[in-house]
Amino acid sequence: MHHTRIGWSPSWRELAYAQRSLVEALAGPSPLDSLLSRLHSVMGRPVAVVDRRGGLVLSRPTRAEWPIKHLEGLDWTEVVSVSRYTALPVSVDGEPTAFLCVEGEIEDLAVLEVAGVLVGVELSRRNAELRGRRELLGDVLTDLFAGQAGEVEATRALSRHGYTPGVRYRVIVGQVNCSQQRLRASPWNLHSLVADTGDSYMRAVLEDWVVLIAPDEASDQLARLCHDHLHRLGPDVRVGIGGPQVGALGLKLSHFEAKVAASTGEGVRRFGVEDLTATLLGAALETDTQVVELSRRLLAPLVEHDMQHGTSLLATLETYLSTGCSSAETSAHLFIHRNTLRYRLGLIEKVTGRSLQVADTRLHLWLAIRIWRMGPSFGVSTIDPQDER
Amino acid sequence: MTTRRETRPGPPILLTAEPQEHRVFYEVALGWVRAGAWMDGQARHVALIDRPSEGVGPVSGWVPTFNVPDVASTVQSTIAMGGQEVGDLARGGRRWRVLIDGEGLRFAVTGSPRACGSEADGASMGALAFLDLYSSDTLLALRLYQAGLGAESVPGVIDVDLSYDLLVTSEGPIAGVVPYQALSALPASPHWLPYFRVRDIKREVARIVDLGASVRTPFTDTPLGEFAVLVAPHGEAFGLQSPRADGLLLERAQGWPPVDHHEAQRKTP
Repeated sequence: MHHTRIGWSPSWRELAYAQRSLVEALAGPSPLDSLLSRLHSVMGRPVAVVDRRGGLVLSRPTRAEWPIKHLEGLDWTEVVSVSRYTALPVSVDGEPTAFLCVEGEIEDLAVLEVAGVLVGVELSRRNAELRGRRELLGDVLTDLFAGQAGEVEATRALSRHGYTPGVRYRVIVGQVNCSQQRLRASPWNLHSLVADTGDSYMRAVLEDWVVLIAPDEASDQLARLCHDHLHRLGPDVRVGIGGPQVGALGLKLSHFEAKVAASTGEGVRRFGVEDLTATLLGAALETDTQVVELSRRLLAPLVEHDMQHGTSLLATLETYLSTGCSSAETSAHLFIHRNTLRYRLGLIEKVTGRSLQVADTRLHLWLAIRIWRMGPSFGVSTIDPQDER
Repeated sequence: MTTRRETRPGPPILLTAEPQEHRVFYEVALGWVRAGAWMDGQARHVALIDRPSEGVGPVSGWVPTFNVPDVASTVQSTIAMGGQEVGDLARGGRRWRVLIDGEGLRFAVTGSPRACGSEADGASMGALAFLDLYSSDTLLALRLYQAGLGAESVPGVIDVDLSYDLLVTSEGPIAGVVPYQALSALPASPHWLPYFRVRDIKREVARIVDLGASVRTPFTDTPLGEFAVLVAPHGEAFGLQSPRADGLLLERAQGWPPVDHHEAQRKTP
């Protein structure tokens, strides 16, 4: 990579003509196509717009193929000459998003820079339109998730954004440590902008969450791509995939499940049925129910007893419940005699004031232990991620 | 002049060490349905995705298949033109004899009868629409495939700067032959590129990019129809082609319109 500027160098007259020609291209019916064709004509050599994934977005001549893999790993903020071509970064809404490439090394970058700015302006304009569409979808989803829209109303509203009734969808949510403005503005797919087709899959930003409504079969790939995209915007990327649902109202549950899955840690996480406790905890957190505090309060007598008398009542209870209330397994696991276990269980009943023979009590205490154990990590990662910033 | 035989392309085979991941990708990208190793479109086989077998060698990528009227004769003619037979490939209830051409590219032939009803109709969406052979020696390739598959070559004419030949059998155009050196900076290895038929190429390109593919050739409108070339997340390239290209390729294969380089130049963006 270097900055040698040899080769094509226009006169001031050629430069003025070229700039005017490029600017005029934006007023035509196919501004980007026209712009690239004129740039190709002015420079007399192949030109292309390449996206961050090394894909060709536009190319003149169209059949020309480029060694685009060479762009991987390059700094996206400076002009580079690499492998027989010059590449100029193009920003969309302030985000380095593409390279405008021209074959050969260029002595005078003036024309290329004008073209780069114009490409960025046109793509930013289209990106703004797409953001507007996403905001409309965001309004629909906000109403749906808040329970303010019925099935018919939500289906009708979502259908305007590509939703097909009867299809099984999953909700994908993603969160990253970056500003909401950047999250909203960063273009996802230049090909959607160039083709002016809108998002291929329903996508919105709700507060600091990206929300995708994905057909079941595409959800894994879209979640991974969502993670890759967010990873470019900042650290601490969490992506969650909700369960499959048919029907608009089902998306509400899938959205909730996706948030629960995302809240369990970084990376891409799929909601699973084994996460029932996490779901209950997540649901409680969503509705501001103080389940962690309630769990702490329920278990406090056991914790205090353990601290004051050096006992292990909480650990004994946890092991007992996790073995399905098997005295033999619990004794073996804790290396204690069965009589000792019987004594501890009696003490637990006395301290908590609840009988372990009652199924409700066992469930109650089990949930309390799980929630109490999970509580702190939930508090850090999902209740208020802004705290970490 | 080669006699045109009743050779037609069959569902292409994608050989890969990770067939399951590829199947999932193409299922979503092209709307195919998994049926074991077969991928179906509209209840008919459109492609086969599986691991390479010992008989075929350690190869990955697309292997085109051709239904030929006389397999033995095809093998014999291919070997006579410098090709080789590398083995048999049996998958999904079908068997092909696998050959390699002068550049080491594999292609498979079978003698399955026409009315087997298991392969995609000519105009099915998501099904194979055409094949391109990116060759480093197009003359050598044309000679071998003309003889082996019973095809004639017809100049395709996409661009005045690019020679492009169609291999045409009595069934119509079955493949194009492209000199890859003529395309600037293309990865330097010959390969087969299958094109699959979609209605709206621009929209589909944008959607498939959302699934992790990247674009090697963006939407391009040529005198032979619209197409685009993508690279799947796992590295193999595949093309998309518009239904309009079917008719244009057929017309060109029949020698119509007559080759006019100036006209071609005007039409090419």
